[in-house]
Amino acid sequence: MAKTHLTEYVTQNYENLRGFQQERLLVEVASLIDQAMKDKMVNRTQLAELLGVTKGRVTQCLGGERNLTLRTLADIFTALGKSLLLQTEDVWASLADWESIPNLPAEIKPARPTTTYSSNIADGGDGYEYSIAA
Amino acid sequence: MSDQPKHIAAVGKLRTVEYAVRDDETMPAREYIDGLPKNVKERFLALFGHMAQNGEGRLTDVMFCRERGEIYTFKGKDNKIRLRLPCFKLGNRWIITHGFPKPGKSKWPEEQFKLANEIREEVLVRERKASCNTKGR
Repeated sequence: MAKTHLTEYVTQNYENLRGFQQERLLVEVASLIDQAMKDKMVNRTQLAELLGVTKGRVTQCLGGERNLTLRTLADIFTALGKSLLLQTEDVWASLADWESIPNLPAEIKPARPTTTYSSNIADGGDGYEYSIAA
Repeated sequence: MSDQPKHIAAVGKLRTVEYAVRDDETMPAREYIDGLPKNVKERFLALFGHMAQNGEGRLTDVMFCRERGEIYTFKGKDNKIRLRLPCFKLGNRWIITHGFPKPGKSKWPEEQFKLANEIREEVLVRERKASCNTKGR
């Protein structure tokens, strides 16, 4: 099966994968908050009152715009009568399952910054080298 | 690889998210997304992945909503600029027509609806022809 735009992007280099994973988590957390609100039939105004924040801030949370702290997340789910449980999974296994793509790279990981670190930064690089296993 | 189809954005358990291909073979939505800043592009790809895997019911209305008629939209932001990716549903597929920055809090400019519907019509006509050709064999 051919790669999608998403898979093509995240398998290009580690920085793309890292950025995508951050956005993915923000989207998934916002979705969980939204589902919890629907379950409890709580609207944005009511959740804002429960949390003592503005409705606009709740909207930002639902848009995945705010970088929420774990404490804030705990407060949001507690206000909605829920507990947020976290778990991890292998990043490539999850993406392979997601897109049913058998030929994802086994590994894309950042190497430790090397002795060329400072020159890389000066060149506008990020100080990392990337290794892509076949 | 050059033979890779470029119009598939994401595939998941419930949906496929695609970029509309116009009659002149351009893909305005993909071109728009490829021109966005890295973090904004990543946000949209995350939305497509979430849509593909979980369906439209699992995206908040701050991220995705119905706009008018058959036109829905993925929503994003580049700093304070609201970005919109109009799309329509075809079976289990969400097909994105193009992208544009929404001017402030005002409603969509009418020409954006017109363009979205024009691209939708192009795709539907082609799909109907393809379907007729398949049945005719």
